[in-house]
Amino acid sequence: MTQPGPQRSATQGQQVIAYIVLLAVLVQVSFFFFGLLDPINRITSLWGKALEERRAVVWQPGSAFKAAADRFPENARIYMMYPQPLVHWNCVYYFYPRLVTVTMTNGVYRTNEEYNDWNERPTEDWLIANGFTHVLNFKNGGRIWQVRPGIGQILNQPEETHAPQ
Amino acid sequence: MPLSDLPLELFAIAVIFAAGAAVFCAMMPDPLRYGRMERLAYCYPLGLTALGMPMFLFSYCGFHLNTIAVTLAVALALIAATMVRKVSLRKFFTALGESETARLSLNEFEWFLVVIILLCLGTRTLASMLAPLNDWDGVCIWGIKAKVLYFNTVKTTDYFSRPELAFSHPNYPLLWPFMYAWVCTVLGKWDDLGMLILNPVNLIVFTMLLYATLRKYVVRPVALSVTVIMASLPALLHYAECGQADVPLMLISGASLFCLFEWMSERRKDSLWLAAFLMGGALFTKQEGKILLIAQFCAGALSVWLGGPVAHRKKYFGQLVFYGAVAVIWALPWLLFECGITNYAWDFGGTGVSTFRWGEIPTLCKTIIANGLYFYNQVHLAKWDYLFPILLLGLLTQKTWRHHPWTGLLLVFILHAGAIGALFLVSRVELTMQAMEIAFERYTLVMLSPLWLLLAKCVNDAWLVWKKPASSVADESALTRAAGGHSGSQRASAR
Repeated sequence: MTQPGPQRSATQGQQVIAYIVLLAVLVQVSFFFFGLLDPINRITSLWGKALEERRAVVWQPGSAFKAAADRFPENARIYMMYPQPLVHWNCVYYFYPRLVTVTMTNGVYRTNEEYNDWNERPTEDWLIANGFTHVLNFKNGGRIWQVRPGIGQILNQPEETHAPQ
Repeated sequence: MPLSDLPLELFAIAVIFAAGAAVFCAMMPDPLRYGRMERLAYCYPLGLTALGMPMFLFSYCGFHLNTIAVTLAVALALIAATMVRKVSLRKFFTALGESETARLSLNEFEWFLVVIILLCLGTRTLASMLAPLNDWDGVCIWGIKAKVLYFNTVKTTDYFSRPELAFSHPNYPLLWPFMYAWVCTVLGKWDDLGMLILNPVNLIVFTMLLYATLRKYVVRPVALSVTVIMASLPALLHYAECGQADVPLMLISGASLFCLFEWMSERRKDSLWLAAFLMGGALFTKQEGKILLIAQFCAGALSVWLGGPVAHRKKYFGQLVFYGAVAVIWALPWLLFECGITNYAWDFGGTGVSTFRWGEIPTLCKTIIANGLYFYNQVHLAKWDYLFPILLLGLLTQKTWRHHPWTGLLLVFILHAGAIGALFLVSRVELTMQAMEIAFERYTLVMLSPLWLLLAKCVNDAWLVWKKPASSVADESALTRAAGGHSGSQRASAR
């Protein structure tokens, strides 16, 4: 036979705990506002803007990379000199299907050290033989050269022979 | 996004749903056993899974994605599946489930909860339609893969063999990039805004699935409350917009877990086949899918050990082995292909007991706890609100979840979290909040699926105590224990 006294007191304890749990859940439900802020902020910052403006708002470098990529024909093959990791990685996406590479030797470029050790200045013959159309040099703010006979002289200019500080 | 593209984007999504409906009909002897919303919701992750691997195989053979070919194949499969099951498409998408009865009208509180869910999902959808691809992982890992698969094929691209592209992890699975490429194929152009239409669909479908699953075990106000907490979770709303594979993995592995849990509760084989197929999709979504397969397999094994009669253990273990085999076989083409990709180790290089950083365990624990408790992350976005303290409170104060099959859910979480923690301990990455917070947030999202069910169970117990007269509480608890976690009255009231 059940003992009414102890069971009743245990039940009261359970009820208090139940109230606390339900109250906590209610508080959490009422915090929906914090989650809602993220999409609302996005909408208010992007509403009424053109696509490229929105791209610049959500991530300004992305907009710059895309604008740079659009200057090249879709079949361009671009060799990058003095690459920086984030610039190289983003260019691979934004320039695709244009080929972007920083290596003549199929080398691994993953860590900052590997980028710091970059030393793969292409020769004119190699660029032409492999069908490259442009050279993009990130040293001193960045320059673009079309690959054509005589580019070797430009690539071998003394100011281009040292890696950037 | 130009509004003129919207019909095409919706068509791309509809094809995914149709592919899922074909699989659902093919695998379910009685599709109407599931509720209407649940049927519809399962079609999406099933469709992702069903389309992803054939797309990979055709791409491996050198075929580009083709709208007409995919649509035709899906249409034929759907017609064949519905004819075999003798269920018309109209009935499949509109008929009430066998267990569904006339709708009860919602009270004010429930309407309030529904409005919050719609508000969160609606604003996220609108925001996703405005913001082009922008986050680091989205662009440099998943976006580049999608672009490669759109402009090239697995056979013709040199993407997987260029060491300088190691930064983008060429060995990561391709289901999600294929889906982005699929939307762009339907659009007829590369559109890194238009393809993101899939992102809010992930969140919407997961919300529907979670609610439908919870309603099987808990009363409606509790199911709605937990669904609100999920749908308004700041971290989830934030990452649902990003072009990463974490939310898709959360959806597919969560759907798999919900089916597995149904098998653990009711031992219905058809639920297990769905779980297995979806787990195959999870394996092809992220490498984390391998951890999830092991975790969910172990939870299933625990449920066989604890929850079934001894005489049936062999049979249930056999079913469970078949579950694992189906998942692995579905993902096998990718797993074999992945073996051929050179992994230029970086952060996760040097695995093994010898490189296990035992001394870093306290730092890792401190970081994990901080991740769960901090209200804002380092870029000032709210994370989890007070989800984890509330969950802990529920788990400590309520008792019925400590029985089969609910314990299996906790095991899935523990094994998943433990495996991720162990991976970090054998890696070279710095284990501080500053270095790891964003990664931890995304891993945590995928771990939440079992916790939603446990939270709902705890809240439901508290709800029953609150709703029932004091004298009947003890009887209810006894009933619940006897019924292995959910009592008959609970099931009845949940309906």
